[in-house]
Amino acid sequence: MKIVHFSDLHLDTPFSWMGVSGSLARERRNAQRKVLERVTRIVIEEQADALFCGGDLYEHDLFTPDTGTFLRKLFAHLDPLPVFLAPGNHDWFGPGSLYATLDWSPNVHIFNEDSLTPVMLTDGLTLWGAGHRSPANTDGFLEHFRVDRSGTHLALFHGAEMGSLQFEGSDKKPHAPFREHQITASGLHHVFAGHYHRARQTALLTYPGNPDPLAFGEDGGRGVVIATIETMGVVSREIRNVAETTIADVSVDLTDASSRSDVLAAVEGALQQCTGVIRVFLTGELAPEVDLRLVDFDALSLPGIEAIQFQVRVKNAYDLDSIAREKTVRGEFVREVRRAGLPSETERRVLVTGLRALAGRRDLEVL
Amino acid sequence: MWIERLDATAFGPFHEQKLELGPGMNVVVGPNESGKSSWHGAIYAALCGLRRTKGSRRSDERDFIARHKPWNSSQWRVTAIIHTSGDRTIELRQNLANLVDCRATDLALGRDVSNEIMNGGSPDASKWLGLDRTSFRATACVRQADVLEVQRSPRVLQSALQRAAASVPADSTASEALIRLQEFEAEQIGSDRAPTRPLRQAQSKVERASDELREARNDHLDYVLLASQVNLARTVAEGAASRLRAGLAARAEVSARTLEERYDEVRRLSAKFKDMEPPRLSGPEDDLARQISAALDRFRRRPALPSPGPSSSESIRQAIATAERSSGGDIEMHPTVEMAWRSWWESSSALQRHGRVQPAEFPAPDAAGYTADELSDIAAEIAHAPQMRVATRGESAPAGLAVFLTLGVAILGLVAALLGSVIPGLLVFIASVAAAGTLHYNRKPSTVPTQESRDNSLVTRLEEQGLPLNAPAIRSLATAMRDYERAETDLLKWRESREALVLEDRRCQEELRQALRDRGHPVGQDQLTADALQAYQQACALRRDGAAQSGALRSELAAAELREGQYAAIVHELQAVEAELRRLAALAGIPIDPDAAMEFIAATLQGWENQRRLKLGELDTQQREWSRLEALLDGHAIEDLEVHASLARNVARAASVGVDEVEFTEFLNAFSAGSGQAQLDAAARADQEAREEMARLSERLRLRASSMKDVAAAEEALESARIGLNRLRDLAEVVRLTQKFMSSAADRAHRTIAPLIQATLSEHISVATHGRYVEALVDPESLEVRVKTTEGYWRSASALSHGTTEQIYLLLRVALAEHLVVAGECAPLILDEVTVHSDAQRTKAVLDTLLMLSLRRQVILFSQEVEVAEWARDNLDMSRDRLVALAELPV
Repeated sequence: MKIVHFSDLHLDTPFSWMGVSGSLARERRNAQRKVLERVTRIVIEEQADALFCGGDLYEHDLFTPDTGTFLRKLFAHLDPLPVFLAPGNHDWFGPGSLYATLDWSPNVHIFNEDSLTPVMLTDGLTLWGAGHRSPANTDGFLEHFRVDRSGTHLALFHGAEMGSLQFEGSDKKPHAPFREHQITASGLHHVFAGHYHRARQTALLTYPGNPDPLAFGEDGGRGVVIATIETMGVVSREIRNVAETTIADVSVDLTDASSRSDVLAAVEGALQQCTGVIRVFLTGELAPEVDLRLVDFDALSLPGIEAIQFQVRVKNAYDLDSIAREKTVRGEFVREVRRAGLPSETERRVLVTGLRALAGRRDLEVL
Repeated sequence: MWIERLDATAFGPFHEQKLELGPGMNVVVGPNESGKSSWHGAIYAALCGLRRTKGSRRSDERDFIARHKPWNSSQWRVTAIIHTSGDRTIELRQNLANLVDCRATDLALGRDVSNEIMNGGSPDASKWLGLDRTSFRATACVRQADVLEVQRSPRVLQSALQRAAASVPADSTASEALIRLQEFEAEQIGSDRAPTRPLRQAQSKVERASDELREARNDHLDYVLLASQVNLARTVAEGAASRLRAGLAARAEVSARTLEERYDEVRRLSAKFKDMEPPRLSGPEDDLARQISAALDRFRRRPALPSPGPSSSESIRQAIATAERSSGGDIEMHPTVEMAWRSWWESSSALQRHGRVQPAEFPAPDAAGYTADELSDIAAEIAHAPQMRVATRGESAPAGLAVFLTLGVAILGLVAALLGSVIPGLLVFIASVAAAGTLHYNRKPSTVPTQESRDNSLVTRLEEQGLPLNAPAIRSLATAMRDYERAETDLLKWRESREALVLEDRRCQEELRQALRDRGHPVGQDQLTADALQAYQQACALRRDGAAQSGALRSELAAAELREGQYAAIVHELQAVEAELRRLAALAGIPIDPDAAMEFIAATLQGWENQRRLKLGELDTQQREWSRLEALLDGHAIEDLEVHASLARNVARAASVGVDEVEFTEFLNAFSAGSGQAQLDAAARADQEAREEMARLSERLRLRASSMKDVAAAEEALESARIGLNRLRDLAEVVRLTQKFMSSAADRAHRTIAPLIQATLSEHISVATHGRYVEALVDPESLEVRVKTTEGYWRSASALSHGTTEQIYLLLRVALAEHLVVAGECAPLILDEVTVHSDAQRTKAVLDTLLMLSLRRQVILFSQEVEVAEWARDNLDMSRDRLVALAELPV
């Protein structure tokens, strides 16, 4: 039995994190659909027996009717190959959800109960699935669960394995929590899950991760999982990258730049080989006399770059200690600002702004 | 810091030229074109170098390069040996041509210390002083051009010094910086009330984006709600359709079953009545049967014989006669008796009341038989004559006659009592005796005094009669006698009235007794009236009871008579029923024994009737089945019905495919109960309504979807707008903080600078102005100087003569340089032609001031004036000062 498992595509999600809006963001959302099309092509190419989705397929609060039509047609295209969908906390099963309102093709099976219900995949192989019916407060599906028949048992749901939560960052909420030992305790042989955006594979558990980037800083190793279920629930897996969007973090040191042109040239040089969506960290010590503004980057010519976001982490190369020793207004200003105990970034910006003003400059907005 | 030597390897007109200097006052003199200004520039360049830059240079830098870069050499290099605090000897090498080979070397250590003073890419020794090349030039390095500038407008220098006080690079004053911040804030941020400014525009953008997002979310929510409604409507429609299918299938099933049953029944009845005539239901026994049925009904409703009552009417009649015989006389007190009784009651009551008001009896005083009047006379007589006679006392004739008459009445009463009127007679007798007694007792002796007795025997008589012989005692006795006589009169009157009442009472009693006798009630002679009356009342009560008993018996008699009448009627009815039963039994041909009981006859007839009913029932069934067969066929052949049933079964089978079993069964039950068609109609209506509702909602959903806004795009637009707004808000906050700290720093710095500069100025101003001015004031912000004359007047330094102004501003530079330089260091003062506009006297004063200043710092003065050279020769201490004479440079 071979299945293709994915999760956390989050169709129709906003791309504010990427710093884009309008047509650029729309392109990203179209790219998400291409990812799903790519997933279905893999299903066909791999001659898989079923497609699993571990939830957060789309955003309930944001979806467009067009997305519903897209999903219905795409999965109908796989008919009669079964598609099993387990709603998550972002695409929870409700009366107005796409799951409930679309006229799905017969091959689509939606686990719309908040407790595990069985579906026979083949003789002796049972898939248990469950879905979220609200955006929060869903209990763990493995609580008080025990398989009621013989054979091999798989499960598909959207939930947080608590042992893995620590790798997901502090803002990740433990929806439908469970622990790995509950898998064997409940008689299951393997759980195909969704929720965590970082891929994770153990002998009992598979998180494929989000197949297309949803934030900067995501590492690789995410995508769809092509899993073969052997006897007694042993699963062999291959994870395949299906992302349409590539993201990268690039750091550009501006220490040697003595003018705006130097900065732009440095950035252009650093991004020559880059494609996709780039987050540029501007670092180093920027000469005080450089008049640099964010709008200057609009003039960059960067073929292959779909979106770019700048994170300014430069230090302005003032010898503040020396200035602070001056018996001038400038020295007094630096001393006062330093005494004020401002947040470091605010202090930096206030100091540079003031020093620029005292230097007779008019470029007072500090990056 | 002081400069020991300068090597101009290539600088301006110099080539491998050297300049040796002392730590004190250095006067470098030479004619025009001897290189004074070049050495001045070389010293500056050696100390401060030039800023490295890839961009364009500032105008002052461009001017410096144009002025001092060698014309005919690619090299441009100058080296200085300087001494700094801490006894360090530093070689400063400035390769100004390429700004690469520029370094500072600690000669004692042989170590490159350039990094301590790097400024703009090259070493700047003024940093050891706490200055930089710009501020150094503004304060400690005075060119000829600067002096000329002061002559034109002291405010220019003042501004330069302000910039130096504001910032070591001396680019801008604090006020200018603050104005620049304000302008930036106004242009690049603006207020949230200025519609054309970035902040307000960013806020508007956020507001618009928020509205857009709210609208998009509402659209989405509306869509989701509509979608759920469509979903629900679809479910309802599917349910309604399912129910309608079940209803139609049930109706088809019912129809099929009906036709099948019809066919089966036709087939069965046809087989039963094959070759038979239609059954008939009528005959001659119908009338007899009706009579028997009526007779049996009458029998069943016959009355039961009542039980005889407790007494017969005859016995009751006898009891009534007995009761009525015992009655006769009054049953209530007769009015005549009652009237008499009331009269007696009133008379006896009056008598009793009279008895309660009997006057009291007084004891008679011992007056020897004299009346009160007599005693009064005696008392008068005693009073007028001491000797009086008292006449003999005797009885009066009228009193004695009364006694006799009274006794006669008593005798008459006694006779009356003996003759029959016992009580009145006795009463009369007793009263008369009592009256006679009283009359006798009340007789008094009369006194008839004579003249003789009055004179002779009065005393004797009084003595004999035991009466007192004094008048007052006799008068007192007379008074007592008069009271006694009055009481006796009252008593007599009471007794007379009582006697009348007693007589009235007797009369009333007699009337009552007579009334009783008149009502036939015997009254004994000796029987008390009250007892007689009581006996009469008891007799009345007895008669009243007897009359009541007679009434009850009469009621009982009426009931007994009614009961006996009913009984007779029932007996008659039973006899009639029995006769009717016997008659009908005979008509039916049923033999009945004459002694047979009525109940037996009725049971026999009931059996006859039952038998006949069974027979009729069978006939009726046959007749109805025949009619049923006729109706079922309804003119069709039995084969036609078979075909109909088969077709209906096929239809029902097709209709039942896929229908819900439960609903199907419900409809079947409803059809059985007769409500099936109504429920089917309702299901059809529900199906129609559900389909219409779903179509309506689907159309709404389609329209909603066609006009929906993209929520994600709206969120992104809002986020983008918020980022822009937050950038401006952050910027506004940064600018606000910068302004705040800048103002505060300027205030603080000015407060610090002003007194120091003032003190330095005041220290030297008297010498520098030849005692014309004795004190100085400095505005801390503008650095405007005011000086005080010896007369005590304050004058603005800029309004003084050029020479004085130059000196004052020279001192101001020195003062500012002293202030700005870090502790432990002294900035060398490098002056080019600063006395050129002074007269001899003022020049000497300036030179004296500089010499005094050189005690604490190195002063390098370039001058072309002979007076200066002469002054130097006269005043310098060559152990620490130098006088350098420059020759005119070759062209």
